[in-house]
Amino acid sequence: MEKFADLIVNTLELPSEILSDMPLLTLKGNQNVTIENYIKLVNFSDNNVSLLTGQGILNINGSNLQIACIYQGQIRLTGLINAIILEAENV
Amino acid sequence: MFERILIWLQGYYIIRFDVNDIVQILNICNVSGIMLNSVKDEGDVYSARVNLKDFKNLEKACEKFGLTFDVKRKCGLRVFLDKCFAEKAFLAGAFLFAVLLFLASNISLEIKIKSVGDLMYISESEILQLAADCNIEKWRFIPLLDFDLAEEYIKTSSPYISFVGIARRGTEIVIEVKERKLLEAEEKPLPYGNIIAQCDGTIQNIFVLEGTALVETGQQVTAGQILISGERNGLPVPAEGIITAKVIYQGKAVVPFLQEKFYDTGLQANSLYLCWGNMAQLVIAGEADAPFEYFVSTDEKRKIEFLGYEMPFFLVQRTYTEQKVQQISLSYQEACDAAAELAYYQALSQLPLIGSEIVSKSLEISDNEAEAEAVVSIEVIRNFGIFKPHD
Repeated sequence: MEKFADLIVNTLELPSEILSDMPLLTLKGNQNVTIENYIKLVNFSDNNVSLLTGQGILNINGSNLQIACIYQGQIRLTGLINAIILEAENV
Repeated sequence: MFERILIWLQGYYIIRFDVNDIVQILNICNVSGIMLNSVKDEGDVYSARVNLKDFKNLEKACEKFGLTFDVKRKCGLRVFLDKCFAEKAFLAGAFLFAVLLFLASNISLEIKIKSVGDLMYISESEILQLAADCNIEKWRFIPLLDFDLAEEYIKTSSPYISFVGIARRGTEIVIEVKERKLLEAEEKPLPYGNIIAQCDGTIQNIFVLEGTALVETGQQVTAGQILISGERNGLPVPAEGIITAKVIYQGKAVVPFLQEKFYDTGLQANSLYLCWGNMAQLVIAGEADAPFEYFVSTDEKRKIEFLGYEMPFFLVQRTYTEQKVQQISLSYQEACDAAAELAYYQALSQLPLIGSEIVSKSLEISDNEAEAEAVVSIEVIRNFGIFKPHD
């Protein structure tokens, strides 16, 4: 199934995140990050936000972290971001 | 930024979750399509913002999963307006404000005069005074002013004004005025040139206003001859002057003693044509050509209507009346009188319509066996000379 999705994406030259379960991160400096395509929130605190994605656990570490907006598979975090770590499943 | 403004416009609740683990609530919101904003960890509790639309869904979702939350505050424009409209004092104030705004925007704060070109004969203060007579002045309630009446009044009150237009521009009243062009026409400088003779004649009087006279009283001149030269002391000037001259106009007529005269014989013939505009005609009855050698014809047109509509073609009934030639013999006196009359009118027709005075008339009659000839000479004194600019 994944191969079929890849075939469509490659044939139609679509952005790869459309059909795959890959998370899409948009980082604006070190104060704003938007994550799309995540599965669920695992942890939320002042200095850590963990998200389960199709690729594994995505950890965002920082301070004064808060969720600016959470809505339909999209989450925008603000605060001082120190690290973004993806703990990939297949490693 | 835009998102925050939108949320503020829609109105939102600031809620508090008194739970240890906010993650469950956030995941529920994510799955249920509930938008949460500004989710913060405030130590023991978590706070978030939820808009009015999603608030009910959140209540339901939390009830379903046995979760609780408190509403800390209601915020946003909609909430503010709801609060305001619940207050009678606010409603009264808003109504009063609207009324005051309406009144303030309908009070004339300035009267402005606009004119096409500079005002020459009437001053702005006079126009303002005339406008004030019609109540058009500062601090008046504009909807109650009758601009048409004021326009008419100002126009009729001053002979110098040819057009008045009054219009409102916000709280300003603009009076547009156009002054009448008085008879004092702008003097345009004449071009340089001469005054020449219009026709042959004898100079009777010459009075030079500008230029140099080249002829004198009693001198015979021909048509086109320069009478006053447009030159003075070697410099070109526009020649100007009054010149009168004696001019003779002649009329000549010949009337034969034996004349042909047509009379009706009483015989008539009719033809009927179907005509299509002026383009084509078709003979329906009678003959296409007249059956007589000499004739006069009259046409009678008849329109054709069908069901009240006029057709583009019509009928023409043409009547030919036969004429016969009769030889009439005039006496010598009759022929001379007829010739004299014709010659006189011919001479008279040559006279200028204005600016001429008949001085004398003369008649010369001559005859031969067949005809009488009359020559009438009319001597007139007339304004003479026309301005001809230099090439």
